[in-house]
Amino acid sequence: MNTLSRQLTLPLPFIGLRISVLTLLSLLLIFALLIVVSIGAVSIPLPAIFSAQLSEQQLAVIGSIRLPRVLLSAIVGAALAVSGAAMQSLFRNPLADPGVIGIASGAAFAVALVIVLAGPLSGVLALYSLSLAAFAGGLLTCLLIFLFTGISGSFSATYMLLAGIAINTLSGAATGFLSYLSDDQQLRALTFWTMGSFGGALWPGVIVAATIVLPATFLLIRNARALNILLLGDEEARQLGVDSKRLQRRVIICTALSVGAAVAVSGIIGFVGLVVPHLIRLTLGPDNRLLLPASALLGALLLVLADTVARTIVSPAELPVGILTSLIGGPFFLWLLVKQYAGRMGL
Amino acid sequence: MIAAKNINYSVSDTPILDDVSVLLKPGTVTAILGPNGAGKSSLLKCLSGTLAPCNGDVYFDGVSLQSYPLLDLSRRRGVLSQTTALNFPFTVLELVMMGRHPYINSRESKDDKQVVQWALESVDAWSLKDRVFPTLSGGEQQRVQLARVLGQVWGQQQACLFLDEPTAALDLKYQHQVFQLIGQLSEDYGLTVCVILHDPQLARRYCDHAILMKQGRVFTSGPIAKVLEPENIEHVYEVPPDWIGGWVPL
Repeated sequence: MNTLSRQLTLPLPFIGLRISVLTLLSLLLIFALLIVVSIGAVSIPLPAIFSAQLSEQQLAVIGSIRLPRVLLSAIVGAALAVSGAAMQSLFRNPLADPGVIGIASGAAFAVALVIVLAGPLSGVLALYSLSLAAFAGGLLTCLLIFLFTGISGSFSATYMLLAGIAINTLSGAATGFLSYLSDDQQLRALTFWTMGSFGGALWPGVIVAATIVLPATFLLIRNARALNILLLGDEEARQLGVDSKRLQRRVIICTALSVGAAVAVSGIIGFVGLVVPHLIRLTLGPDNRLLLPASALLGALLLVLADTVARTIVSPAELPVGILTSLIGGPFFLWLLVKQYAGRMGL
Repeated sequence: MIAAKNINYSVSDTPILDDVSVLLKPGTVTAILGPNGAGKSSLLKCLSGTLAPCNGDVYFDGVSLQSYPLLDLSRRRGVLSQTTALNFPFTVLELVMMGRHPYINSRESKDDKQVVQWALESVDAWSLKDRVFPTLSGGEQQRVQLARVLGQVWGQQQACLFLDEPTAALDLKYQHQVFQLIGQLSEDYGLTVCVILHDPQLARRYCDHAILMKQGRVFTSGPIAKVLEPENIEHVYEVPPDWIGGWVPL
C-alpha cells in the first residue's frame, strides 16, 4: 500500500470527517442523478423537470427509459464498489476485486450456456433468462468455492484466492469453447453481454437488483468495524472476540449476492470494484467504517456518470459502459501497481 | 488460573504437542523456553484458545476454553502473536484502538481513548501515535502491537496475557523495559502472564516460573531457578557447557 499518502489525510476528528464526507458524496450523487436524467437523445431541460411541465413524450422517456437506467447504474456501481472494498479487507489484499474469486466469470459462463445451447428464446423467458443465468452462475461459483474451502478444512484467504483463479481459468476456457461452438449471431450476443451495458434497463431489473444490493450493502457496512479487526489476521480477530469464520462467510455471501445481481442486470463491468475503494483509501484512510459507505456512494456516482458518457458520446449509437470503465480503470490500475511497487522499494 | 490437562496437538499425523499439562497461576510470569520447533508457540496458542487441542482440554478458571464465549474470553485475555502483518495504512492510534474492540458498542468512548494513551505511553510509543503503522521499524511495530494487547486487558481483574517472543525485535533497553512493565502489571493487577522467550538471562531476571520444552513435551517445569539449571539447558538445547557458562551467574 502507498502508506505515505496517508499523511495527506485531513486532521479532522474521525466522526466529523465521516459525516461530512458521506454527506458530501450523497449530495453529489443526488445532484448527478438529477442532471443526468435531463441529458440524452431527447433533451429535457432541468427547469421543466422541476416545474413538472413535461410533455407526455418527455414523461415517458424519463419514466420508463432514463430513470430506470440511471437508478440501475447507481445500484450496480454501489454494489461493485462496496463488494470490492469488502473483498480487499476479506483477502487482506488491496488488489482484490469481485472478479478475483471468479463470480463474474462464472456468471459469464452461465450466460454463454444459455445463449449458445438454449437456442432462440422468446417472450418473457428471453428477457429474464440471461439475468437469471448470470445470477445462478455467480451463486454456483460461490458455492463451489465454499465446497473447496470446506474440503481443505480452512477458510484461508490465500486458498480462496487460488481457488478463485482456478475457477476463473476454468470458466474462461469453458466460455471460450462455447464461443467456438456458437454461430455469428450468438457470438455477437455473447460478446456484447460481456462488455457490460445498461441499455436494457427496465423497472423490474431495478427493483430486483435493489432488493438484493441494498440489504447486502447495509449488512456489509454494519460489519465494517469487525472487518477492520479482520485485517489483523484470522487468529488475531478471534483473539479480539470477532468470530472470523462467521464474518468471512457473511462477507462472501453478501458480496456474491451483490455482484451476482449486478452482473445479471448489466453484464461485466470491470475495475469499478478495484478503483473506487482505492480512491477512497488513498484520500481518507483504510477504516472500513468510512471506506465501505463512501465506496458505495462514489461507485454509484462514477458509474452514473460513466454510463451517461457511454450513452451520449457516440449518440445515437451507444458505447458499452464496460469498455469505458476498463479503458479508464486499466491505466489507473497500472499506475497504482507502479506506485505501490515504488513504495515498497523505498523510492 | 489456566490449566491445561494432557493436551495433544498434531498437524496431519505429525505430533506437535504430546501429552502436555501446564498450570499458570494469577500474578505470576511464566516463561516458555525450548529449542526451535519444540512446540512453544503451539502450546501458547492452545493455552490462549487460539488453537483447539486434538485431545485434552484447557481450563480458564475451571471453564473449558471450548465452551468459553469468544467475546467474554477476549475481554479477559490478550495474545501477542509472533508475526503480525498489516498491509493497510492504519495509524498507530487506530491500530491500538482495535485492541478495545471487545468493549466498543458503536463508537469508542473517552475511556477507550484514555486506555489507548496509557497503553502507548507504557511502551514508550505515544510519540508514534500519528505515524502510519506499516512505515514503522520492526521494533516500533512490536511495541505498538504490545500496546494493543495491553489495551485489550487494561483494567480487567484476573486477566491473562500471552506473549510470543515480545522482545524479539527490541533493543537491549526496551527488552528490559518491556519485561519490567510486564512484571509490574502482573504484580499490581494479578495478571497471569505467559511469555515465550529465548534469552535465559531475561527469563531468570523477570520470570517466576518456567516451562522447558523439548520435542513437543514438557522437559521440566517449576520455579525459574530450578528449571534453568545449566544441566537442563545443556541437555535440552544440546549445547556444550562452555556455551552456557557466559551467562550463568546471577
